[in-house]
Amino acid sequence: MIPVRRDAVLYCGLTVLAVLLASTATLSLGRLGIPLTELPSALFGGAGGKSAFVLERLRGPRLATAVLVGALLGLSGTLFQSVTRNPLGSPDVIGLGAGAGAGVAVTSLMFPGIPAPVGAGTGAGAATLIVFFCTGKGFRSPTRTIIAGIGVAAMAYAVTQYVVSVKLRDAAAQLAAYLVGSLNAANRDDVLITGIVLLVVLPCAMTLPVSMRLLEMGDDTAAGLGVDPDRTRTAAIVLSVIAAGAAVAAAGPVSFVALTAPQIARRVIRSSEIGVIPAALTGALIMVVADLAAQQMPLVRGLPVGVLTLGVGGLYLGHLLLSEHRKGRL
Amino acid sequence: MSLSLENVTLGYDGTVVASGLDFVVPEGEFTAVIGPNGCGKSTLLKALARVLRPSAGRVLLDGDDLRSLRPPAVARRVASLPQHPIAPESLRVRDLVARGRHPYHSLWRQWLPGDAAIVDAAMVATGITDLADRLLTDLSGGQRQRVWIAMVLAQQTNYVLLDEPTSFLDLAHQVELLHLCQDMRADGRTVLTVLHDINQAARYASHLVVLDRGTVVASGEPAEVLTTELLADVFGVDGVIGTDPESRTPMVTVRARVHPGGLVRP
Ligand SMILES: Nc1ncnc2c1ncn2[C@@H]1O[C@H](COP(=O)(O)OP(=O)(O)O)[C@@H](O)[C@H]1O
Ligand SMILES: [Mg+2]
Repeated sequence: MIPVRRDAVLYCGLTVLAVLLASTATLSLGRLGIPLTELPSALFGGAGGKSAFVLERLRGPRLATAVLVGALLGLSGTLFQSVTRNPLGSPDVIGLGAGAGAGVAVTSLMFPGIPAPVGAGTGAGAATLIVFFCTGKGFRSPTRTIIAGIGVAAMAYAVTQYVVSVKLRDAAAQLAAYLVGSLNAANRDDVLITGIVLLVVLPCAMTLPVSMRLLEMGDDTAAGLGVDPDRTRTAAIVLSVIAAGAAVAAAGPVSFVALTAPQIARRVIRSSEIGVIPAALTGALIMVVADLAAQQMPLVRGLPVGVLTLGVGGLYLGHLLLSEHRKGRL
Repeated sequence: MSLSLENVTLGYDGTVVASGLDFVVPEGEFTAVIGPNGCGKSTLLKALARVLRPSAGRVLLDGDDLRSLRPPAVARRVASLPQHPIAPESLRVRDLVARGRHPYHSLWRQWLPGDAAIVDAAMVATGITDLADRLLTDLSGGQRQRVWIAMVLAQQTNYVLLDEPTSFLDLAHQVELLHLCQDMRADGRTVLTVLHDINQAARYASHLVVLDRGTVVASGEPAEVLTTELLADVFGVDGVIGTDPESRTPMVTVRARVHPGGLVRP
């Protein structure tokens, strides 16, 4: 295996601990919360009545979806950023989130019977395919991918805005919550879908960092060492898109988690090396904490979780842009 | 053992650099490839190293089509260093040299028992042992070049392909590197390098290959290959071929350029 760095292991341990703490708070705080004393028995199947209902129907699936969606987004972001060698690269920039939004908007207008996740998945897939064919080289050229993605995202926003403006007001409000990314409607199906995708994608993703690190030396050097540059890049982008697509289908286009999670992990561990696991754990932590705030914090209570990640992530993006600018990389 | 091109067409996105090219890497020699800028020297090396895929024809390694072999299997037999490798940030010299062991690793084994000794030996051979813990980005161009060579050495391949390995080196280190190539040959490896300096090529290499506009126009011992006609035709200079007083190898002195006013060729 890759010689694992001690700081990375420590970081992962602390992140897991933080996720557990935030999860406990999520389950036990507030009017409907499961009291701490009842939590162990509720978790291990002993409790009945109110606690079981809250755990199995209300907060449990929502919490699990938050963890899984966050992990998928973190994983997706770290793969995408290392392929594009750009800290601003994330599946958002290839129009995946915008495509999902347009998919939901269009299905809710034309086929109201179809569930939102199906619309989101279809939209994300369609946007990704359009980008794939627009570049002329598939996903092999990161620059072309990003530029095509910006164009596709703009078109998708236009479609979404059209639907929002022709729809009835209250339906539009509901749609708006989904479009910014929300866990309010998370259920067991979402847990199942995101869980299965994470189980499949994570092991595949863990095979890539070694080759991707060699690609830093240029394609020719890496190829001389037995790496297939195009295949490695395509595999990374495809996995990244699948992970982000599943996350979007479950929770809508939650902004900035894919962008910030790998950056935070990288800065804390102080390593330029790509860690799939640290980034996934960081993504999970961000989502759980953001959704805890969306459920319990005064002022923001009740808002879709995507509004919170948008606000906090926006600040972080500003900071990142400034520091990249100072380093002369932008 | 053999490495050869069989009737290959090489190029980039539509532009053809060479077509119908046949070439056999001279086995057991230290070969220098020379030729004017843009004639396809780097392209030839890339095709031999499975870095560039020919649009027609085959590259054969011990009789197998390079395309039918898995990339790590090729990298265990053919090492190549491009003209402009990129130095990753925050990477230490020793870790870079260790990357030469990558073709021997698998997903589950990223380090093998013999690796440390092989990496150390490669650093000794290139004289960079003292730099082991320095960051690659803090080194001079010449030091960095030796680190890249060490990485290629650690790959322990039969074929070593180097694209202009002397370009950033001062004279002493150029000579050092050329001796290193000779040592590799003495070790039984086959070395193929692109060199710019014809006199150095003639003096240190055992074999010369002259490339012009994607075709091999001459190949053989330096003394046979270098002629005044070749200098005029390929390099566009009116040259005199004397003898190196030290090594008794051919030595080119330029008298004038053949085409005053620019390199105009049919
Ligand atoms: N990556 C590339 N894309 C397009 N054209 C290239 C590329 N690399 C080289 N070429 C072209 O191919 C020709 C041969 O290049 P090269 O093999 O690098 O020449 P040399 O190494 O002999 O100077 C040149 O005309 C060059 O412009
Ligand atoms: Mg060249």
